[in-house]
Amino acid sequence: MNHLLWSALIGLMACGFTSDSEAAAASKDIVKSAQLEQTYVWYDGDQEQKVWLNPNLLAEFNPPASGRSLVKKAYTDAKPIAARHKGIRLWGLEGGTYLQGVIHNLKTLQPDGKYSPVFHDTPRASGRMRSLPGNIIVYLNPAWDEATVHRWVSGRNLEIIKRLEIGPNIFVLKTGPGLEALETANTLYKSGEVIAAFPDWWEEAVPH
Amino acid sequence: MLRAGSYLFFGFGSVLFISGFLVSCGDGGGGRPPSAPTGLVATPGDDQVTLSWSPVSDASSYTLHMASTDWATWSLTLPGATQNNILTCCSFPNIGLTNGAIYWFAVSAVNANGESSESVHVSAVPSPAGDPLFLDQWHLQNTGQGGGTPGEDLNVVPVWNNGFKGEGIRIAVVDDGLEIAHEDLAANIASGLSHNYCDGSSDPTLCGSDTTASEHGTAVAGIISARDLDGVGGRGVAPRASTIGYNLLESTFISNQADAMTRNSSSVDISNNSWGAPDFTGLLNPTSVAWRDAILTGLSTGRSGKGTIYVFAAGNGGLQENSNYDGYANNRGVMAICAVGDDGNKAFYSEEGANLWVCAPSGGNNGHSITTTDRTGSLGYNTNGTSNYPNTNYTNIFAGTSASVPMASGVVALMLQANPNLGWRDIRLILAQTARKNNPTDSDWTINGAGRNINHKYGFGVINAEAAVNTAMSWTNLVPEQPPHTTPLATPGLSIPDDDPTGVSDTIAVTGSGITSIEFIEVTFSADDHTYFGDLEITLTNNTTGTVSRLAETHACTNADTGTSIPCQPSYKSWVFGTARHLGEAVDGNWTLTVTDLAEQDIGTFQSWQLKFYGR
Repeated sequence: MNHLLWSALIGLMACGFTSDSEAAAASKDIVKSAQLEQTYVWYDGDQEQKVWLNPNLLAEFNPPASGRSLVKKAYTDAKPIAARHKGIRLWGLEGGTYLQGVIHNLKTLQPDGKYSPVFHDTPRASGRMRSLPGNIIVYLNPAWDEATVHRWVSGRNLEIIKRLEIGPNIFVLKTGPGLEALETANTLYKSGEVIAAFPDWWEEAVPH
Repeated sequence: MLRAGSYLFFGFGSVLFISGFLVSCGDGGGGRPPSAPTGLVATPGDDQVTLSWSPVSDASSYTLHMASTDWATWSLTLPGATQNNILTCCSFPNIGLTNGAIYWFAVSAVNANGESSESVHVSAVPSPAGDPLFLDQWHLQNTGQGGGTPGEDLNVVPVWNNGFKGEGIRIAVVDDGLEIAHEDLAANIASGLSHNYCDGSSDPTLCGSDTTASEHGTAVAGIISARDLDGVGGRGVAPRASTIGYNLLESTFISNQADAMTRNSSSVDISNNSWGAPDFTGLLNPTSVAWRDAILTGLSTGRSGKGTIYVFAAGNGGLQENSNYDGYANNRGVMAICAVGDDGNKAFYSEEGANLWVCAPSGGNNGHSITTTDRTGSLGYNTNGTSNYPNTNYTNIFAGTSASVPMASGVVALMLQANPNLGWRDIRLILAQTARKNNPTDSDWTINGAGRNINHKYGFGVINAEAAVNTAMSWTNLVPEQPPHTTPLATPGLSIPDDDPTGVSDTIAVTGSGITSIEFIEVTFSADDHTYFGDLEITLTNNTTGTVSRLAETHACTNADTGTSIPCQPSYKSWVFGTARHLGEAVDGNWTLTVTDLAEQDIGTFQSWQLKFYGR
């Protein structure tokens, strides 16, 4: 951890950059061919789903439009992955970099930043990606009235972001990005107090 | 001497307007025929030509002459033409004028003493007034331009000529950016209803301050509703329909996916989705329960209960993937649209699948793609005009099932204008019923137990807009659905022989379903322990009718970027396949699922399966 913090500070001062396009091609191949080991589960309704963490990828949500994000400043070796989507930027990290440490450091440097690990639906990094921008989706008892809903939410120190008009009492609740969202959703689901709870995943989807 | 010809005018909604001035109706005196008309001008229009000439003082009428290809092949004559023949000419033989074809015209003057010599001969090529790129839009009217097969198109021109251009119908383009100020789109943008998932605004053109890319949605929107007769670009399939942009692909959070399917659901008639899970891996890509619930919500509450029409891309991984591996495209609530080229044959990238509904044109195997709108200026697909249109606001290289989807949506808009009372199930059935059997020699065509042509490459065939709209106009809505019939979970637990075409099968007997006309079937299947699910071919057979749905095929899984092989994992675990191929068949009877491992190594078990039937 100390080493990482040091690296971050050095990175902030050094500001040496390679071009994004050069880096992207090389790093994509590295991260796509990885065999993934660390798994997590989440619950899509009542269906348990397994995902594989990619230790070499970092997701940055709402990235700055131009050039140098904090990630690049903090980790000069981080390489941007060519992404199809504007709302997320993926960064390739060198093998051996401690991903959670990177995220911790970035949160320290930028408390309102949204950084998350990247997961895959398969044990290979070629599979569909998903990541955790923050917030969870919760299906509450459809028979609950509004007062009951708010009482339950506040009783768990949660906050309603918005209601989803896809059924009764389905809400987006506020959590931090990254594993906090996954852990909160799983805890709620396993509590039996909710019908469903899962992260508001960013899921890879593409034009056809 | 006048050629033995005659006259033309009108056909397939085509009109020849005659606007010469008739001044004198006398015989001209002097016992002579009138002098030949002068000043003949032929002005091309959309499937029509307007003729005008200077009046001949002693003419009592005029005779018009036309040649459809060259001056030597006159075909028809229309004696007695006058300015008033604009109406009366409709009773003459209907030979039609076709956009893109050259026609020659002449006029002679007539009085009691005879007929004059012909005027000078003039030619004209009908084309849509104000849509300069229309003639390149072979998907709208394929005359063989670019080497295509004439007639391999949407057959939409007759629908326009019948007065349906999509007025009053709203289509949400769920995509990346949509440039709502584009010169050929702006007039059809529904004000204030678009949504930007990056910043919450109602302008989905850009995500934040990044001005690059996000061109896909703009191209898709142009196929649906590029404005007609506006002096620029081409035209959409429904060129007067209203378009709304949701730039979901910039921020594909699950909550946004659900929102995009239901936002403005009282105002949105059609949800156009030229997107899906990543292609080219051969892997399974499920959807979230929130997205599925959003679809169900749209079906039950959209359009005041008549149901939002969801149109999705079948997918572009056709060299290795089946559309049934994509949880978006194989959902019961959507129509999965496949792609055919300008020869009517399957585009190489278009995914096969039992879930396919209908196909529509797109860039095909000869590379002849679709002309549509592009980001203004140097952005988008056409950045400098060197290998594309000089006007970089347009492109002629758009392709993929992405291009076919908005064609389907456009046709649905025309159907809904013709009959706004159609429910979502009615739309689907009409499209299936009126689809054209393309590529008729393809070996996969067969007829299901209800007499419908079905093909794993083409679904029910290629959309025929004229037939669909005509059918819609006189359609009686379907009776409500029966409650879905779900069979008990069958757990055969059969070991699947490795690399053995014999496979294993299990049969479910269904009785008392109450459904005599199937509209869709979901097949939930598990072989969770198989270590390479791509080895498996899976088929569902209705033993009563013999109709077979091929749900999965033996295939490799690959790294989409490098093409190198990767494990096909994880395997089928309560995976839900969809099939449309049993449309109209009855449920009751025996249904057999056959699972075959057609590649060596890797084994597993046919663990369980279940059927869920939808219909009436």
